[in-house]
Amino acid sequence: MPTHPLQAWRLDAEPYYAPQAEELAVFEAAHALRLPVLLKGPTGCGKTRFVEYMAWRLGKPLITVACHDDLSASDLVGRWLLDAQGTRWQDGPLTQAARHGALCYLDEVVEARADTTVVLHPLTDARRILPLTACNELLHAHPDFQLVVSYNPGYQGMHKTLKPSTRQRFVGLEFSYPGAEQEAAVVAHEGQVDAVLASQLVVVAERTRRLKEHGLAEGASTRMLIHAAALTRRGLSPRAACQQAITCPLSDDPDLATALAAAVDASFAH
Amino acid sequence: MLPSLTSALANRPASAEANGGETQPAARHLPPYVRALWNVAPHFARLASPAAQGESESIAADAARRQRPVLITHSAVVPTPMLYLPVHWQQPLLLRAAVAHACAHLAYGDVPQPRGKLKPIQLALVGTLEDARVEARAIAELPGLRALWLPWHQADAQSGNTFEALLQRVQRSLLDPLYSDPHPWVRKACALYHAALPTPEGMRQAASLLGNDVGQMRMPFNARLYVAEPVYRDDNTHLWGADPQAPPATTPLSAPSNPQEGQSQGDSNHSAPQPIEQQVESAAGRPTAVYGEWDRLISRMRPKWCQLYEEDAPNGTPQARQALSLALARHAALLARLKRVLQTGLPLSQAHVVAGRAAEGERFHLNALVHAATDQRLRRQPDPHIYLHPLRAPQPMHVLVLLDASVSTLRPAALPSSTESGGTLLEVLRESALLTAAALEHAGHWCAVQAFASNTRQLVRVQRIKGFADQADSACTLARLAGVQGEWSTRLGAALRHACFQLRGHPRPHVLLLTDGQPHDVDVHDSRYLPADLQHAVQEARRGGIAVSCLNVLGNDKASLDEHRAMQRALGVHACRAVRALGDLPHQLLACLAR
Repeated sequence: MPTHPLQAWRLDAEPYYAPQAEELAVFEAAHALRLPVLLKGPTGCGKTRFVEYMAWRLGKPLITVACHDDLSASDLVGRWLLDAQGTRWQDGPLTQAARHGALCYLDEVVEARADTTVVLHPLTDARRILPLTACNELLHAHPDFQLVVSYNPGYQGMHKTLKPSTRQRFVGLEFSYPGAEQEAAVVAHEGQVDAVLASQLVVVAERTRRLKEHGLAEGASTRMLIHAAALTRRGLSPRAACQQAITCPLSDDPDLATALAAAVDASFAH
Repeated sequence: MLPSLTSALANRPASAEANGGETQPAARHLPPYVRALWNVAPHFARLASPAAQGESESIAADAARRQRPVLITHSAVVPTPMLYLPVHWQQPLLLRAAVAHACAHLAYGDVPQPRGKLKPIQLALVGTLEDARVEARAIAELPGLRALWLPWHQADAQSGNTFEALLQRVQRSLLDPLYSDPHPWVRKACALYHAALPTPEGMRQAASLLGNDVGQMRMPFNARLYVAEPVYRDDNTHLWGADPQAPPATTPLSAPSNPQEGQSQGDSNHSAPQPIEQQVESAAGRPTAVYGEWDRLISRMRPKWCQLYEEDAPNGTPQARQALSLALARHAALLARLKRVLQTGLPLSQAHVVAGRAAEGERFHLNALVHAATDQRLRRQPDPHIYLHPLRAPQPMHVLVLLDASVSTLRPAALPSSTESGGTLLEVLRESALLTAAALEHAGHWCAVQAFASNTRQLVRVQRIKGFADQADSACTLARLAGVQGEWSTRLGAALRHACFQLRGHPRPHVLLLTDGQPHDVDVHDSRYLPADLQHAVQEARRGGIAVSCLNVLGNDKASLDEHRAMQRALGVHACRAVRALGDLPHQLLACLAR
């Protein structure tokens, strides 16, 4: 039996994901209709993990592209390469996903150049086609193909945003940090620490999140808490782990850094 | 210090308030600290040092030692809680302990209670037990706070058996789980505290019982000389409702450290609060544009909130023009350095242009390559033009310099070069704008200059000084720049939104703010409102692909530095640069524009 061309992109094991609300049902409904999905939410709240989990749950390969400001349309679609026989067309990740049927996840899509997102347009409406003008091919998307993009609307310093013509093609799913109990369960599972310490870390995160819009672009993410938890497992005290994994990366402003460090100090018994 | 200060403090004018940016440097981290801990945001202000009152040194030192923070939680005048910290306190840990304690009152305290018939001893006892109660609640939630407060509790059996010493021993016993006091009354106080309901009412009942004991023990107590101990604890006046019978307070509170814009400097003790809406002189015609404004309290944009009028700047007097020309000549060496720095550090970016095929080049023209390969297989002579044409189009920046022309720019400048020319910040700002425009033009970039000032949200004025097509050293530019006068206030958000509107569609757009401090306007009394709006305007601009940076020309007063930090918070540390002398201009300008 021939192997699927995207076999390497399948997830072997079930990724850990704790559903927050009805996002599983929404995504499955969108997938059934092959509607493109837009995930919005703060950094480190579980967007990427959610996509991995859904790919595993749906049994589809997942091709992830981390977008950056030099990402061009040909980086997504593909390009001609030179080899001994002359030129050879190499599918880009988007073309691969559309050709062979996979979930294509464009992480932080607004970071990509504006012209890049335009190539998504014919793929994300009823046409579901990808014109490969460079190799004169009109690619009709595989029935299993689905596009998922994510971005963080609160990200400061961002110079770009999605054009209405792009964003109106997507079904939106809004993410935020899970509730305290659920977030503690996630931190306990992923960081492999006990529930008490996980809850303490979540409380610290909630304190930093109060400073959003008051000096911080974002409060501590769930990912940061998992890092802090992992550091405690390696022998650091919770206070030291929070300073290294949360306080230090959150801000360069000396006053804000002092305030965060003092808040962490206050959160743990000495 | 038991007499209530509340009524006297409540009558303080709004002008005596100050936010975190105006407190001592060691206290700057405290507003975000308490917001993180309890999501409370009191206004911070300074309690004047007693040494300033002309008393003898020893009396002043004693008064300074006895000074305690003052917390006002409920005031008829100021809706936000106020926390006054002694201005001579510089130890970060003392300030942090004091602020954490006071904010524990905010987080877990109750509304002010009537004193009823409580005697001074009972008032002191209620304060002590209530302090212990809120600290216990705080420690239950934030266990690390115990280590913050404990070092200030040193009382023990050696401290004596006076009422004040016993109170301190009670405080330590209630806070320190490892300390056990042998005094029976202290033990009884602790037992009553633990048995009482953990509410202000429970504390009041326990204090009544303990107060009777103290009376029966005939322990002397001088209410006039009593101060709350340890030193970090506030004077607890906020526990009690306003008492019309109380004697007037003698504790002076400081005036704000920097006079607000919109007032003359000699007006800093002006006690009447500013009217909410000032009568604005009617501007001619309809506004050029109306912009929204971010209201941090409701976390929403207020739509169509600021009326902006754009006009040509008036021509300055011949003397002013002459002074500006002379300044330009005087700074010739600086201008040459600035031009050199910008030309090398800020080159025109080269936009990649697919300009056809070439026989030589660095990058393949892929289609040409395919055609060549096809020709080869068809045994035809391939076209040798298989490379991208090496042409690239230069892409200059479009920089709009926004010059702050508010009244605060009439302050004396700290810059050595400006003292020769009269010495106001406005003159330094004008010269900086002129030099910047000239250097940018020389480096091949486009630069426009506009000045702005505001008089309430109904009148934000933007004056055109130099368009992109005008020459920086032209007579017209010099005349208009000389005509800019410092007046009114600084509503930066609206001016920035207008600048971004004008830059739409221009390649490599950049707004450079030339200012002397943070935004302010006379119809805004919340010192964080306009900086929050500015932060939002900056984010909007950056989302739209427009870079925003700021050169902050610092005055020779401490307030300038505080305002600079506030601006850095709004724009980001790297996008907001301080200029202390015109010599700083080249590298700071480059740092702003090359981002």
